[in-house]
Amino acid sequence: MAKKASLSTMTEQMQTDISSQPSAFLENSLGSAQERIAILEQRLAEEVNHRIDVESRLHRSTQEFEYLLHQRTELLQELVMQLQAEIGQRDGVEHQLRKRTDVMHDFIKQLEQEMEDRRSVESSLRRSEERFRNVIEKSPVGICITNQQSLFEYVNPAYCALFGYEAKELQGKPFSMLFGVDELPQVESLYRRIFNGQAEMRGERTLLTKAGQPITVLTDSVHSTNDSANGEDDGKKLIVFVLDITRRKQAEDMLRRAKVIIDKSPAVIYQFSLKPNFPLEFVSENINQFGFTAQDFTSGAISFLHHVHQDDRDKVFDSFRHLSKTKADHLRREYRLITRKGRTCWVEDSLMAVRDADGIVIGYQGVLLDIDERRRAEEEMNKALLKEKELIELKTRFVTIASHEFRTPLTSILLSVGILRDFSHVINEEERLESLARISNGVHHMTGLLDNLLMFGRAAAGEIRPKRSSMKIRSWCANFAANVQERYGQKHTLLYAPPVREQDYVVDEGMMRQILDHLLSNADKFSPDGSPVYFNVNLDDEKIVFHIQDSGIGIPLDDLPRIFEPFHRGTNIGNIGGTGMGLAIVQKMVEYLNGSISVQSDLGKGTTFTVTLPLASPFEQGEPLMADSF
Amino acid sequence: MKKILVIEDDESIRRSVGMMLRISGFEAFYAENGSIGLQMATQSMPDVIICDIAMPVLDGYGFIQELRKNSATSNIPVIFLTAKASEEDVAKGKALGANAYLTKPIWPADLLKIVQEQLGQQA
Repeated sequence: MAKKASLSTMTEQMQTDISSQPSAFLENSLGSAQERIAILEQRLAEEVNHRIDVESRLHRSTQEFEYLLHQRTELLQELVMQLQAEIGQRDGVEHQLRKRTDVMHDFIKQLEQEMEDRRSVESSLRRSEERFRNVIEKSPVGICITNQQSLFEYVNPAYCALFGYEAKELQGKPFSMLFGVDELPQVESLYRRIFNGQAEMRGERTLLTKAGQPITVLTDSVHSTNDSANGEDDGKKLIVFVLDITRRKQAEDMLRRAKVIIDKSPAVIYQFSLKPNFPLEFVSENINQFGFTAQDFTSGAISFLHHVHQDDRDKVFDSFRHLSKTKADHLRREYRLITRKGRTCWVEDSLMAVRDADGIVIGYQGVLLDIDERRRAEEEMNKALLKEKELIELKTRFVTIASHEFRTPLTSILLSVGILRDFSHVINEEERLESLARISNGVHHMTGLLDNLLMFGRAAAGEIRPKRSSMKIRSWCANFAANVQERYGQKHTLLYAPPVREQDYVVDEGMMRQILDHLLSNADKFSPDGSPVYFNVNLDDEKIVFHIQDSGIGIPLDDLPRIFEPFHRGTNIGNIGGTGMGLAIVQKMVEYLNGSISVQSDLGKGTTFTVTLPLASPFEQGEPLMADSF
Repeated sequence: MKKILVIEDDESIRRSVGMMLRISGFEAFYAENGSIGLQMATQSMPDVIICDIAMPVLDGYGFIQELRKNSATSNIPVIFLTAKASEEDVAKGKALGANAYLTKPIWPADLLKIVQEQLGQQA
């Protein structure tokens, strides 16, 4: 550079010398130029030499450099290869590293999550603990914690309220203070056993309140090992839960008692809803009195309504309808129930409608009572009442008729007595005797009437006991027929047909005679003179049958049903005398001999009475034979 | 002589009443039931009729109803002489037009008095 600068400076000098001193200068310049050229040439040579030197050095250097470069390149290549190999290795490591890093990240995340969770758990634990405390404090269940010495360590408010104590009154006091004096001796050993897990607290027991009031409680306990805050284990505890079940117990007792009462009572209680077929939702156990179990109905296996007597079902449905249509709440009805065994049983059902708030019937409940006996008794009573009424009517009529019957002979007597007393001066001897005879007849008639009445009264009251006597039928009848014929005299012929064989017969002979006497006497009275009277006696293995047939006035059709009534006399008998008691008495006596009597009559032609008496003796064996009659 | 018809189913009473009337100066007729009595009343036109009530065929009630229906006999006094002694019986008898109602038994003098009363009123 320095050379370049000197060259340009020399050039500039020469240019300035030329311009300013052309000839001199030229000469001067030629000489100097020569000199300068020589210097320059020298310098150039030097320069060239130097350059050559430099170039040779450069070349050498280049060679060296190239060699070095080559060497270095190789080294570099080697290095690169090495590097590449290293890089390859490094990639693997990096990958592993990345994976490990990922794992690490995950782990950290997990850790964070866990920490988060743990924080959340801790917080919920805190909340839970708070809630737990709250629950215990506000629990309706009495809770206490007692220690080994059976002393209260903690009591919750419910526990205090239950026994009427303040918490401070209980804390530190023995558990046994809640027990009655009688139980005290066992309480401690019981507590020990419970505490040691040898007995259970679970169960019902009666404890005393502060006021000494016994209450029934349900108790249970758990053991706990309580770590105190300072890390010291202050020992095993018993946590006791107490639930007041006094009311429940009372209710249960009442229910149990009610159930016993219901089940032992004859009244069956039931309830059913308005579902199809009216299934019973409840029925008391005492439905078993009808042969069913409660489950038969509540399970739907048996329909109650199907066991209501077919003829009464409409009545039952009507009562449902009545209750649902009207505002009536209660309806009592009686109907027949078919028991499981198929027996018909009268029941009284007091049906009540169960209504919702709008008054709509949503179901029914009722009380069912077996009134079969009552109903039958009622029926019997009604029958008895009817009979009684008939009897009273009969009695009234009897008295009326009897009074009439007595008045007639009394009238006759009084008239005759009156004639004898008040008209004695005008009557002749014949009239006097006639009057006296009428008095006598009247008295006889009345006496007969009285006898018959008494007889009938005794018979009606069941006061007659047939008297046992023995006879041979055939001979007795023959004898009897002969006596009747004697009485009839010329008036009638008794046509007697005897039984075909002889037969021993034990009977009340007097009673049998009276029966036949009455009937044969009637035949006489009501048939015209000269007409025959038939008296047939038939025997078979079981009975004797007497037929008494007359050819008399007969009995009007209207009178036939009444001829055995006391005092009833045929409307066609005219003046024919009698008390009207004969046939009534005959019928009673036939009844007493376990026999029967029937009548067949044609008005104006005659009447036939048939009396049938059993051969089988109505008398008890060993009863003394009597030959008495009345 | 006044004619008295006695309608009575009991012979003994009929005869006693008849005897009492006869010895007291009356002419007595007899009938044993209402039906015969009605026939005799129409035929004989008695001045007074003594009539029982409980009788077969036609009783005293039936008799008096029939008797009153017939204008010829409707005014004949009828004395019921009967064992029917209840108030209802008496009321019924009177309602049917009986002029007197006497219950059995009766003293003949009392009966006679009533017969005479009926005859006196008639006169």
